[in-house]
Amino acid sequence: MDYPLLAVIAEVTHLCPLHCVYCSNPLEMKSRREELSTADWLSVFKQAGKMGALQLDITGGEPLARSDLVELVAGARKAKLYVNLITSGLGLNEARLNALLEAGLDHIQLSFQDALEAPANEFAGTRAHAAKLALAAQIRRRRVAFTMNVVVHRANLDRLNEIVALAEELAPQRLEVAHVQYYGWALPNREALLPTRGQLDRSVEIVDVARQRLKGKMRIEFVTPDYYGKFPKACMGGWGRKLMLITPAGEALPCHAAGVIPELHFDNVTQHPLRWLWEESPAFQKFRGEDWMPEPCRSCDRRTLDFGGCRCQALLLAGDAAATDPTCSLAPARPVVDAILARVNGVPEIPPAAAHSPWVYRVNPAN
Amino acid sequence: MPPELEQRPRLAPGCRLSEMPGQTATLMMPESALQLKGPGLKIIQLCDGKRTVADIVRILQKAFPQAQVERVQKDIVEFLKTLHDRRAVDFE
Repeated sequence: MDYPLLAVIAEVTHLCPLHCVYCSNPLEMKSRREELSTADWLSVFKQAGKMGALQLDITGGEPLARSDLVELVAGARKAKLYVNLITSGLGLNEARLNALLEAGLDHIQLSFQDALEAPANEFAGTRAHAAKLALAAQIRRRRVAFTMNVVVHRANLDRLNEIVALAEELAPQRLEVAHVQYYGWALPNREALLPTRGQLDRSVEIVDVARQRLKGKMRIEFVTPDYYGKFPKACMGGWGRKLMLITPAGEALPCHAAGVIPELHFDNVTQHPLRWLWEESPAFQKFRGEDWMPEPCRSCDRRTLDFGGCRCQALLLAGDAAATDPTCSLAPARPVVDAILARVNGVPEIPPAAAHSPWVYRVNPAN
Repeated sequence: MPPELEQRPRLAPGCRLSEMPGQTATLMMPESALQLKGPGLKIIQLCDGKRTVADIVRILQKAFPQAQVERVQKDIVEFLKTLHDRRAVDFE
């Protein structure tokens, strides 16, 4: 196999106490009844470790909504994986935090929605901010890697300096400032979330200055919005090249959003060994390598850097999963992206107060 | 900032060395990993929060007697600075 599996992203549940307007989960979510059992997950982790995978991201939904989370972490460590917990923090108290660390949790990535409480709660669709602040202090007192993650967009980007200041106060080793990616619940909210070019340029400057100033103290990761890019992102490090995502129901996906591609069928970890899913299942073969590529990708020097961009984004914006990612300046469908950018840059950055909420909130799966 | 010679480097929380038989040793970090061989691995093994940078330099100079003495120190300080900037090593 030319492509070793490096990391597994385990969406252990789609339940979440937050309703973030940019959630990357699909619009159609898995119910609690469909979720994999503890034993199913432990088997996945064991197989991943045997295949040489190094990292495991336990995410959701909110992974703390699983009552067996401590057991899952312990099993993943036993399988020799480095265990990252991607969490909103809701559902974590001191006793559970201690139990997770005893089970071998390596890294906690705690999300924040803003530096200010009112807008943070607005974007999350619930009162979560104050609890996160208290939790951050508890995490900081323990020996565990700690990342603060903030998704940024049109409605909070003008407070990026305040967000960096909050991070300095909470003192994680890493701060992740991630512009929204337009999949899942972010797509119906796109016009309200996409920043203007001016906002984006200012955010790049703020991050540059903060990175220099905080060097050695806090590492800042920065994810830029690919709609404004010249070239697409190397989505998932290339289709079926490094990463596998497993949904709460056990389907193995090459990308978070791959469910939007209608012609794909996703095989399940309860029916197939992980190695077969990675090496042979049709979904992972579909866009692996270069044979599927259209022009201009096929003859482009950048095809080994960005692998033609994101297949799901190609489907969403160009209606064809095998098209060049429309965020690429060389893509035939780039005018679609330019039209969206022209629209969001043509309206004021701060819209007049709306009579009703502009947001489409993420909802929980039905039982 | 590069470390002072009397500082004691220690792997940061959530950073650990994974050494499995038959596999290249790997420094595991949040969302990333670094494969280590030779002197790099030796340096990381010595980042225990007890030994100073000067101690580590002395040990590596002994382990690699053919290398230029100043060069060993310069390389170690540079390596530790890089890991510190990645927040993988703390200086105590």
